[in-house]
Amino acid sequence: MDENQSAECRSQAVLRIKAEIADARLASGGGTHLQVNVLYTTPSRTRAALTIASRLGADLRACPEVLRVYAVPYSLPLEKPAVPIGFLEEQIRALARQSPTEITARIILCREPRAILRQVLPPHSLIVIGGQKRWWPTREQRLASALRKDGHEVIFVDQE
Amino acid sequence: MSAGRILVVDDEPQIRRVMRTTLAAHGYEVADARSGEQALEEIRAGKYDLVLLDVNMPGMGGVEACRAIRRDSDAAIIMLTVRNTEEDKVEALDAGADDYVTKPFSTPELLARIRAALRRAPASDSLPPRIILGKAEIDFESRQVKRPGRALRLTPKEFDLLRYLATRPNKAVTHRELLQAVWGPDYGEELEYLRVFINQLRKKIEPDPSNPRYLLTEPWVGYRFCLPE
Repeated sequence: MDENQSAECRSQAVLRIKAEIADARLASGGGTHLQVNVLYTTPSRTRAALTIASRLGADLRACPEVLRVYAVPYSLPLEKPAVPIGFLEEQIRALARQSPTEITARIILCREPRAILRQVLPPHSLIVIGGQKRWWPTREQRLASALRKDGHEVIFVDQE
Repeated sequence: MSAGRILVVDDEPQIRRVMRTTLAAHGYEVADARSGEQALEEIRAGKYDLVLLDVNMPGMGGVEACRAIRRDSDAAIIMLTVRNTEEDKVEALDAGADDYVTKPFSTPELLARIRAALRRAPASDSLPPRIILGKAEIDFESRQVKRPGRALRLTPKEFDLLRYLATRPNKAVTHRELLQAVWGPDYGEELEYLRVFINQLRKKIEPDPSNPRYLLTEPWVGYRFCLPE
């Protein structure tokens, strides 16, 4: 990674949202630091992924975290995306309200989503992605495949 | 000889009475409890092969009782309820139930589901209390994996999965069989889900999780627990 790119990554705006607590099971279950990462795609696909991630989290005593990596075009300052951050937050809050378990969320504003994912996801992370499976790979299928190649454990939730 | 020990948990005395009579007539040894709290006491006091658990009960509800029972016991659990929405079924199965029967049900159906649940239940007699795998010791009684200097706790699902495989040593168990035995009859296609749990188990019991020696993958088939000589 060159120096410019590294500087770009350091200046990324990272925001942490603590979502509403719908169920205290995981909070009391604790004991391990395993995290189930849900990559935000679209509201409905992320909701489907979150359902699976919550189930998985309960079975593995892990906490689901929604990761929204938002690409800001180079023509705009990184901290001022075309879509207000408040709107991105509200989309995640809406998901959290429907989630059966407590979730945490991170919104990451960046230029290169793939590069940022490589930085923020620890090796061998457990990742859930909601998307549609097609014979010609969709964007989400390609992302899942790239993350698998990076050594992560990826569960693809096919939302037909 | 009894076909199995069953605990019937329902707050309605009439249902408990009918169940007792029906199940006893089919060779089962039956006890009953009128609440989730009483069921937990019964289970701590004696060993049961299966629990028939009503979902709607005053005090500790059926789902909460199911979770509590699952923490203490390996008995198969069949939930009985009038509610049949997908959310209710998912909640019950996620709480640790093995099956879910909607009221009203017929006696032959309930008996068939009991037989199926008991068939899936592990043969606890064939499982030793602990297995030594290299430097790791799996204690099936305390549900712990002991490694030099630390003890790791298995989650209920990890434990169920490991126990199911350990009761069938050196035998390839199919993905579908594992999913249905551990997660219930509604599962069967969730191979990625199974893979996640196998990897978690490997991290806990294998000396080198990337080159497993005990939890082996049978390509296109399932997994095999390779018991050391």
